[in-house]
Amino acid sequence: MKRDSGTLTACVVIALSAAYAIILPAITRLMGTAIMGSEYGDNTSVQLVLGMLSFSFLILAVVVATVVVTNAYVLVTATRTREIALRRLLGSSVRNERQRIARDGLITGIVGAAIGVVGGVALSAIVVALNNGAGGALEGVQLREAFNPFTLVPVVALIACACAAAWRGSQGVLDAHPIGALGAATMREAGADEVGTMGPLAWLALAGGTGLLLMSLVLGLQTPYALLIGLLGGVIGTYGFIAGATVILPWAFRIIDRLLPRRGYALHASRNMLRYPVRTARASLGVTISVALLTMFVVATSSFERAMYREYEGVAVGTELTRDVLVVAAALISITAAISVLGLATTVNLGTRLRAREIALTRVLGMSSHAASRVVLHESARLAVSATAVGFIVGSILGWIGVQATLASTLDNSLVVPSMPLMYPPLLLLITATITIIAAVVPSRRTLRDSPMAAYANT
Amino acid sequence: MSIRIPFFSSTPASPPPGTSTAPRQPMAMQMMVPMTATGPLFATSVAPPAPGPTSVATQSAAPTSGWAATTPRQQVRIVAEAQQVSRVYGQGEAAVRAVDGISVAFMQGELAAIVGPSGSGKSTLMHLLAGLDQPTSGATFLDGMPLAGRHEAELAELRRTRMGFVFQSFNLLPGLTVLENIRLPETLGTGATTATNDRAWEGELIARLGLLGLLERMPHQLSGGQQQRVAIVRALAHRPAVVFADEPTGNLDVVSGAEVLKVLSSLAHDAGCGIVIVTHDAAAASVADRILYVRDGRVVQEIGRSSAEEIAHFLVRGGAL
Repeated sequence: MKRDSGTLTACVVIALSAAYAIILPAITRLMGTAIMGSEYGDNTSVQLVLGMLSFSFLILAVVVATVVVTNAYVLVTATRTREIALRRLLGSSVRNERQRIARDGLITGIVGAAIGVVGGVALSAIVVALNNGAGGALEGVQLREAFNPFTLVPVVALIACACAAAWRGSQGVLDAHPIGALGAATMREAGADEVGTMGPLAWLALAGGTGLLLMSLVLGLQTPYALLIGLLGGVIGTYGFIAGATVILPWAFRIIDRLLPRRGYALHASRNMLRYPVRTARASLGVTISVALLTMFVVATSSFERAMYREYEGVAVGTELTRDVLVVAAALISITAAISVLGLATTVNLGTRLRAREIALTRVLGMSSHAASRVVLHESARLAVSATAVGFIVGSILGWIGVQATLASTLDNSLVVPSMPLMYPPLLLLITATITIIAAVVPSRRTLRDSPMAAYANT
Repeated sequence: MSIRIPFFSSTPASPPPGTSTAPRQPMAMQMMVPMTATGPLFATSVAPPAPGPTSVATQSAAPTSGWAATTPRQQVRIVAEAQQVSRVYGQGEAAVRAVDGISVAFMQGELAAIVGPSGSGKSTLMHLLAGLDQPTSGATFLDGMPLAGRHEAELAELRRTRMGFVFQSFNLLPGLTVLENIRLPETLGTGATTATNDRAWEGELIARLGLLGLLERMPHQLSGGQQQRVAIVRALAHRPAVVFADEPTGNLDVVSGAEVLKVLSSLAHDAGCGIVIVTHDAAAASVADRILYVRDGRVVQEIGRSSAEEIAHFLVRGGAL
């Protein structure tokens, strides 16, 4: 099967997640070993929390990677619709075609995982070496202690996920009707107006998670242990959110769309974004979750500091701790975030390629190539802004609930005022702008390449 | 309202063999009517003597003024024009002369058809006239303005404000409603360069083409004929100087095709623009006031309004009458 940017993305995403799957447990285990040897050696709860945290982030990275790979294969299949339709016309079965794509997913998964494992081990070694050199927390720890046969479990799971994602993504083969190859019938575009689905389990998880979060708020008035219920609610709710993303995100995006400009170039960007609700949801899910997590930690630590500062009348309490938590959280989120941005960029890129003929038509009808690339930028910005906005709102609420549940019982007025550093919104805006440019750079350059008539005729 | 000129003699076309291979020629000012870049946008022409196939010499080297001056001269605005235009693809041995020294002018209020077999260069000629392709030599004019030497953005602006397009298929953006597709040119530029539909005229077109109840539909909910009619409204609503229709009936069944043609022919004279149809379909060409037969990149024959049968006959014989 021909390599293209879709499978390349899949390969890079799998490699990144595999490296993450190696490094994260390794570092966690090494830190555990280091802690064992330290003065906190008997504190198994620290190890437990560390292990659980690393496990949740690993699961999240694998889920996001799977979603991104699925979307990549949906788009790869869509760009090959004509080719597949021709093969089906000449007698190839749907099963045959889907197996080809799934096989491609398997190979991509294996290659990506291999690269990731090698890179992950190498990086772990570097971390240990650097740390030992600098006399850090991992002092005296041997690298081989970090690995055991179970290390490869998440990697194998990743390969299986890649293969499954390719199979799921290859559903578009069903839309590549053999008659389409004859060119007579105008084919409905694959994925346009496809409505997302949300199973009962997803609804249950979302409702249950929300319920537990609310319960943690109420119980928080009595005991700081309400945070544990809140955490459970957060995890369950996140599962529901991910499982129902193809319904929840398009709904949220439609609301955000009303707030954004919808005239001129923006009209095209708006329609293109809302036209493929499922694809858009998959593309932005990772970014939304990454931003939500980051915002959650930022709001939680900031509100915590603020509440403590007030409570202890101007004495800064626990700032060291909150800073460390924030740094570790940001580091844990970074890989998931990188995978997400890659996924979003691939969606904009391949989505633009799928609409090559539409873009060519607008150019024939009088849109300059510069304006056409502006439309791509608009579209990419809209996607990035929507994904970030949802993440920001959800993350802020979760962060506040966490601190409120923890501190309400200890505060005089039982209410934590949510806060965040003044620098955070501009920083997030900067991140959004960066995502926008990363996603738009390749496709907007392509729109400038061909003459409009050649592009209109060739596609 | 426009002046109806059923047909107009095309200018003498190809230069003698040899001259056409010369590098970019200066604008051939010795030719035909004084319209081009500088002058007012009026050319002198004459009304036709009678309907029916009329032969006009198009291959002679000397300019011809068409018909003998037996009818009163009229002022006619030329909306699209090619002067000694050639388009060569490739170089050396492999060079293909898709368009070979064609000179032709299209008038306001005129419905003209460019016919010819596949690969004859008729589509290339249309692309050159629309500024979608640059001639290797010769000059093209839109509404008296030269297209040569313009920046891509300027050409795009001319296309959205002064031209309209109807293609064989895939005319509409699938993500926009019918009305949004009709107003598509308005979203393609910004600021002062925005095309604006003449709302009253747009409403009239929508009503005349029977699209009133379909404005909020999406393109995939329309039949092929309806989609073509939407494309026609879009092509005309901003009152362009000229509309280019490339095989407008190529994808339609006979009945829908005939409907679209009827609409085009009735609109050509009301819209105040020129309409140029590129087709190899005799039925499509039969609504035209003037039919140019293109073969091997040259206009080899030109006839006036003719029946589909006559045109079919004409096509089969390779442009010979």
